[in-house]
Amino acid sequence: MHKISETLLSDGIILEVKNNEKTDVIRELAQILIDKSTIINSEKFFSAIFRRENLESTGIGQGVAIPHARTSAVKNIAIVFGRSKVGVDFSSLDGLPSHLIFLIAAPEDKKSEYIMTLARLSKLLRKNDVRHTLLNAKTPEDVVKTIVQYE
Amino acid sequence: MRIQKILLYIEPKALVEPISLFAMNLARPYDARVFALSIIKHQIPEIKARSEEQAWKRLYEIEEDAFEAGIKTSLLLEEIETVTQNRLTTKLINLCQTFKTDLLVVSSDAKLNIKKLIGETTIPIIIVPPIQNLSKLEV
Repeated sequence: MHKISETLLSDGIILEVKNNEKTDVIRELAQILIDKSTIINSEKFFSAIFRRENLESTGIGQGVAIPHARTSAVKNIAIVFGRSKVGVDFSSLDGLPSHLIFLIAAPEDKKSEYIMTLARLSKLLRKNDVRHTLLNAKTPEDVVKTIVQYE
Repeated sequence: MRIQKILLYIEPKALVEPISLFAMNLARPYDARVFALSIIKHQIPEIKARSEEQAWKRLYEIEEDAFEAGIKTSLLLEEIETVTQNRLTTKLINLCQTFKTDLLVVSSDAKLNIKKLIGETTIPIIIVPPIQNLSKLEV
């Protein structure tokens, strides 16, 4: 089982996303994985991740969202991160916009690893210090350092 | 009665599958949303970390099953300072009100004050028996 810091791509960190709409932000983050060929079938991936967004609120509250999908369109498990100053509406139960957005893509046959990654990331992001530090990170390296430090 | 929101309470160490399948079967005909809830004790971070990770794992397992079955879900992880039957029950009653749920599903072996729950909740409650007493469930 990989650590979050090992699954988060160091070159998959956007300190200010260009978009403000949920679907656009997901597309922006997923594009990193498409460019790296981690997502091998983008149409299938978007179909899976948007189907989930329609069924669930992947905004877990406190300004955090974890859009995720497990599908054969993904080669290996990966996390990319985007930050939004204005916030993005991920239909969180607390009604707050999401500023820290972690997108998880996983292959179909990695269910256990995928569930554990979701659980560990959710646990990590409930810590006030982690969220605060990520919100104020100046560089992608700061983001990685924070995850390593608190994991 | 139209059921739109079902609150499903998951005990930290209980077997999740039977009760979550039951809630999903209830949700399906109404296209209702299942709010899967776990409540953990607020503790020092080092001790809390393990129980929190386990609680999230259970919730995401439910979410994954629900996703595959096409059932709408939301996950809730709440904390309380002290875990007693009464405090857990009060928390549950409050969450039913906060999320305006139409139905509450709990396990019969949940460590709750059932009398208080029935007396103070204004919505129907379904108490699901242990797995060995349940007939086969399918989603």
